[in-house]
Amino acid sequence: MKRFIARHVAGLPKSGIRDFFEIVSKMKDVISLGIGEPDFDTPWHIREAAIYALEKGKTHYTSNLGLIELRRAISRYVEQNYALGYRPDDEVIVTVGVSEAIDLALRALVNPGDKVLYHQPCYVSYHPSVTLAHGVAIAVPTRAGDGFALNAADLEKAWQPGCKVLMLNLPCNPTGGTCDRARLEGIARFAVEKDLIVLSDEIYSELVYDGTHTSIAVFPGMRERTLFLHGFSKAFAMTGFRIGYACGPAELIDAMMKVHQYSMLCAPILSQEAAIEALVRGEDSVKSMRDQYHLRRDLVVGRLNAAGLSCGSPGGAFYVFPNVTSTGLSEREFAYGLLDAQRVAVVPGTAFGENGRGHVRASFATGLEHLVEACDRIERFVNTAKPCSVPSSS
Amino acid sequence: MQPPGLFLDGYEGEVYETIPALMNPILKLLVEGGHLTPAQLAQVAGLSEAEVNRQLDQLKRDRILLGWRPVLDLSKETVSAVRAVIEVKITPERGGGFDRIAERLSRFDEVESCFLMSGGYDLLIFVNGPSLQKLAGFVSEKLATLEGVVSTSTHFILRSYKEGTFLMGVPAGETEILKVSP
Repeated sequence: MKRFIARHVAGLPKSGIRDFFEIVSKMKDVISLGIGEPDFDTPWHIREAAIYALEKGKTHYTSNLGLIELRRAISRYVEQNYALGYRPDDEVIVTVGVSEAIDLALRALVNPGDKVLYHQPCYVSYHPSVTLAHGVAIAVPTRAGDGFALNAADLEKAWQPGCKVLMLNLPCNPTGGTCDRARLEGIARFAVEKDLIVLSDEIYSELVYDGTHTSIAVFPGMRERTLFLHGFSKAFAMTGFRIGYACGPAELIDAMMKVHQYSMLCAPILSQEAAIEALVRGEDSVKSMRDQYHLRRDLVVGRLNAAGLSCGSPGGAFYVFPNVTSTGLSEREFAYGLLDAQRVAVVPGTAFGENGRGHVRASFATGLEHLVEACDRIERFVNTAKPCSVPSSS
Repeated sequence: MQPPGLFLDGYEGEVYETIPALMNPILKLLVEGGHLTPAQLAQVAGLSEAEVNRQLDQLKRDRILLGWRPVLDLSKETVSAVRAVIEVKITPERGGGFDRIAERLSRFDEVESCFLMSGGYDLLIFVNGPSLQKLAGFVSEKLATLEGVVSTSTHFILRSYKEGTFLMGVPAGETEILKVSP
């Protein structure tokens, strides 16, 4: 069978998280800081809206772009929170999570061999999504010393002729890195100068703890070359609903819609109905979850540094990305050793690209009691850390 | 000037201040942080354990933190208590308003909670007792006979669905969540 598999798919590495997941899922009494989703259940009023929609028989297809009521709500929400105006009729598309929106955008934009810049460490799907769209992914490093913010200088260095797209994820999974306004403006200038389309994945933008979030699309010359990507999974704790959206120039949305209508047709209607409720009445729920994450972030950052790991304070999202090399262990040795000795799961940083070497990702999307216990265990592990055998990387 | 966060009487022209109370980080953690020990509270709040204990003592002295009670699902006990809600109409007194009678009622062991209400009656009280007869006795002998009590309307609680933010009769949250995800 192997010979039938398309070359660009056969060549894709499996997610670096997968082998680790297999081991963790078979163990008992593990405190997992390896979870890339909120620990909170979806707020009840949002779940109830989905139940109500089901009871009312809302079980049919929607328009390809998504329910117009939802697109109007998205347009209002983006205007109010990001100071960006998009027409609900032709500048907004509702997708099956931001993941689908990224796939649509790359397939709509990339000709075989076109180059796509992305900052790394980054979300696990970025590089493979570019490959699946027959593009060439080019990683731009971000660094702990910089709070994992992206620098225009690093972009300049990585740029090569044939670069067409720049993918941004701020705040970033796995680093929690954010960019201040000045730095973002530098990136915007670079994008204009090099005539790049920017795919701006702002899925964590409600979960910012220091300062305020700014979208790159607000800078001069950027609205017409930016696709604003957002979804409901993180801020509204709606991962399983699989619902997101993209806002951008009508021509790009129309091209994405073509791919979407022949592959997905439309996002699930129940998720769309729940999403309307989230946008219209979800503000308080988001705030209360953000306050909890903020508390947890401060706890974890303080404890990990006190334990002897070097851990910057992430500006957003719900991950810390400490450097573990002070223990004398590699990121994989640390993650496997910690799991084996203390039953705490963190994800080796290299699962998010080469630039994650020496780091692990620990999610603080878990209850305070568990976090305190996990920090105690990490401290014990750091104090007694010895290299251990690690399965070979897949 | 009352210290911020003190629970004040709401009907003497003063304000019922709850928000400033929750600005106290320790109090906020007690309410929102789950069941944390003082040592854990100290870590989360970035304070020493001694300082947390000092603040907890102060909250108790200020009568802001009144105590702790477990939330129980009594339907699982073989001998369950009887609970009722009673609407009470009373005649307010010159000088004392509703306070004297409300306080006198509140002191009975059977009374769990007592509130002054707007609307069709004056006091709403939650009572409990070992049996229906005992509670009926409390209503007819103690409550209804108090001078100033005009009428009572007793509603026995048949089943509890939610208590103190906990859902009753719903299995503990076993939400399926992947142990490791991207």
